[in-house]
Amino acid sequence: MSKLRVVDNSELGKRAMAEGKPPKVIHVYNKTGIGKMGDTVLVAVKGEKKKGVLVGLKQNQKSKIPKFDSNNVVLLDETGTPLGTRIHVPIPTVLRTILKQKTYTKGVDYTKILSIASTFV
Amino acid sequence: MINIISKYSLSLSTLTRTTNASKLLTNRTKTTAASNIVKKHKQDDNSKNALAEYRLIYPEFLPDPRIDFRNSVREKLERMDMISRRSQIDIPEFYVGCILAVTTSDKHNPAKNHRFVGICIQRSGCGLRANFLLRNVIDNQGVEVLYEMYDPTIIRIEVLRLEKRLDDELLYLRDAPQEYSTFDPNMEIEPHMEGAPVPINTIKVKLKPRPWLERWERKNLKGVEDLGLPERFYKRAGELATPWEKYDLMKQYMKTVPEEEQNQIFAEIQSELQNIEITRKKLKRKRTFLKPSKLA
Amino acid sequence: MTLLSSLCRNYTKFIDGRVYILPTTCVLIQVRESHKLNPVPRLRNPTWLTKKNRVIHDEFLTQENSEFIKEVVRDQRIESDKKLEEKEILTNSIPWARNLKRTGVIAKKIGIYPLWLKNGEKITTTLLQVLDNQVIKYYSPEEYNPQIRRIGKINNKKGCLLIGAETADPTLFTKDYCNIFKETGVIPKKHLARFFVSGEGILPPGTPISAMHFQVGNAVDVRGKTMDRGFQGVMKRHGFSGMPASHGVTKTHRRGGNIGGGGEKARVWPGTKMPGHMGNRYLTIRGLKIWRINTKYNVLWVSGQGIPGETNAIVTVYDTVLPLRRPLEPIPFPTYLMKSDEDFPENIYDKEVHKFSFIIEEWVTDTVNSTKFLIIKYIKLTMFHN
Repeated sequence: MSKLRVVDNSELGKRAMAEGKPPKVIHVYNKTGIGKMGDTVLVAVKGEKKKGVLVGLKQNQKSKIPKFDSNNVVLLDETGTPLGTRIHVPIPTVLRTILKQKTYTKGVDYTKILSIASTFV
Repeated sequence: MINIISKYSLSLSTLTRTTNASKLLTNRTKTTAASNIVKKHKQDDNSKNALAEYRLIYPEFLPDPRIDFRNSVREKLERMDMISRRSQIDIPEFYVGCILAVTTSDKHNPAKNHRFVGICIQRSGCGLRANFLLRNVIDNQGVEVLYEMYDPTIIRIEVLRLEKRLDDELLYLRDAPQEYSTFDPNMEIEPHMEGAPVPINTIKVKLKPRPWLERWERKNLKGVEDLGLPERFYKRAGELATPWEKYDLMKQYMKTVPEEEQNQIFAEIQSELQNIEITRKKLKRKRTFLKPSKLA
Repeated sequence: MTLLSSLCRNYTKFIDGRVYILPTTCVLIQVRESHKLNPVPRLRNPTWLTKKNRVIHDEFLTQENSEFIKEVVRDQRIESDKKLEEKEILTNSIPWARNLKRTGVIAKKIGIYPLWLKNGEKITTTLLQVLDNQVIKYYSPEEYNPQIRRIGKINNKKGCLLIGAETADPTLFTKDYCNIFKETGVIPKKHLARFFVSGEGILPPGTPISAMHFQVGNAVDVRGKTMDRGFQGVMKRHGFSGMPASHGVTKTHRRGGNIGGGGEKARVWPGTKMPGHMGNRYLTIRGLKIWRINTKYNVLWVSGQGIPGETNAIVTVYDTVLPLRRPLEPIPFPTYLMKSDEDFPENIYDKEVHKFSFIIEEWVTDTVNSTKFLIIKYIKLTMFHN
């Protein structure tokens, strides 16, 4: 179970990080089971199950796509809206395309994550 | 058909019979040529130095030394493409340890061009595959981006600070505290005199305590402070070290392009590279001249 | 009985109504399925498949003699070139139709490097250098005599062109091999290949074929010999996963495991993937797009990096057989005819490929349509955009 870093300013995420109990991935919502950029994951955080979106990865990327020093996650609530109101680390610009592709009518609107991002790399 | 002609002309030149008359002629020319040799020798020395510098400035022009990948025609075509790209965009001289700013056109956000500033921690690949890895810390988050040098989506590459470090790769910055790889994205270009030697930054990095991404004690790093590990780590590193490899001439020969070939390659593209350098200098002068008018 | 007796009258004797066979004679006995006992060889080598390389002895030639041989070779070259010039080489091309088959070419795989498309995408391409191809001979269907024994009707009605590439020193080859070229008057070539062509696509001997035979944007099939990897296990040869490294596994980490079931099918099925020799066999990769052509060095840039063989290996390049990737527009048939006065660019690019001497300015979105798509401003700049 890989540990993630919550990068939004949600109360739950902030407390989890402050206590040194970061969220752990318990499921990846894709066919390979390997979390890639923009994938939705199910995490266990402070005794709760929450969904989140991977917004930065340690794994090697293709050229021009940034590689981060930590695996970053933005937490979502049941309806798919982000728990926090701001993301305090840079977000890769590829997510603009990836999250737009993931969003469809009557589904979860992932592009809300883009609107709360502060910087893009 | 062209191949045939070229081969044919070659065979003609090699097969020409040397008659007595022509032998005499060659003897005569030899004596006159002897005086010219001394002059030429000096010129050769200068050009040789220039060629030796090219090896460091343009390392990606040297092909992959693995003999099973070599082909002279392919290498020539690749060099031609590289030159034609370089004539369109200024790909400056830079080394591992330099601070670069790369501006790319961003497919995901077409309205804006994307600029990334960071320290070059690795340079690899040869030919059109050449690439470099930039690292920076933005909002307390370490970020690395790999750029391909001949990627047409790159609009501008600027060298903000031209310097060298003590190591060939700075991948250990990943295990160093963030201040060592934090650079201001709005940094201004630090002036560097044309023709002056590239300064070497002798900074010693203090790494964070273990765990690390790699076993740095085994890498023989020069730009790192004492790692402060127990004796057994260094002992093991000593056991695994291969100090005899630098004496293994055959291995070195297989891993590098021979000097004669390097000179041949750079002599072929020298004039183009010089042209590119001249235009770059002209543009630089233009820019400096334009500055005061902007202020006014 | 009567037949037998009539056949072997000389060697038999009838005594008291019994047949006695004389000891010194042989008897003709009917053997069923006799054609299987000593069958006609199914595979017959084509006529050009003779021993190629001569064993080179130290012939103790004097300097003058060896120079004389070189001179003879040189003279032969001049002569053959003159002959070919004088010879009427095909001048008029035939309009191409979908059912017509052109000849292919012999090429050399010279390496792999990336190209970029105008939309910023990177593609990997393999460079194939078309060697100095020349037509050696035409074999009509009857003459060619397909290798497999003819039973019933002839399936293959196409004749074939024998094409040679890479001119070499004829003193290196055997006499038999040189005789193949004698009739045409072409200097012996290192590599030979045959290409089936339809009746309209026959080329006269000596016709050179260049990279301009192919067009940018069309697809080709490339056939070559794969790298020889020797005897390999199933993991490398067929991509099996192997077995765990630990958890009590003993001596079966890289083995294939079970190769068949029991019961009614208690045998190994034909075609079961097992260890064996890997590589060193001919393989055709189909439908590779040509992205770029260099007319000076006769180089084709084709998509992908899976072309069989190592760098500097010889491959043959054909027009593709894939029905959906056949060319839509007419192509030069039977081949591209070189005209001395014609002027064409050194590099010919596909319309999607980015030229290195150009620059992509920026990405622009179309706001008229609600769907976003990219249009690229494509501007040629004299020197550095500024």
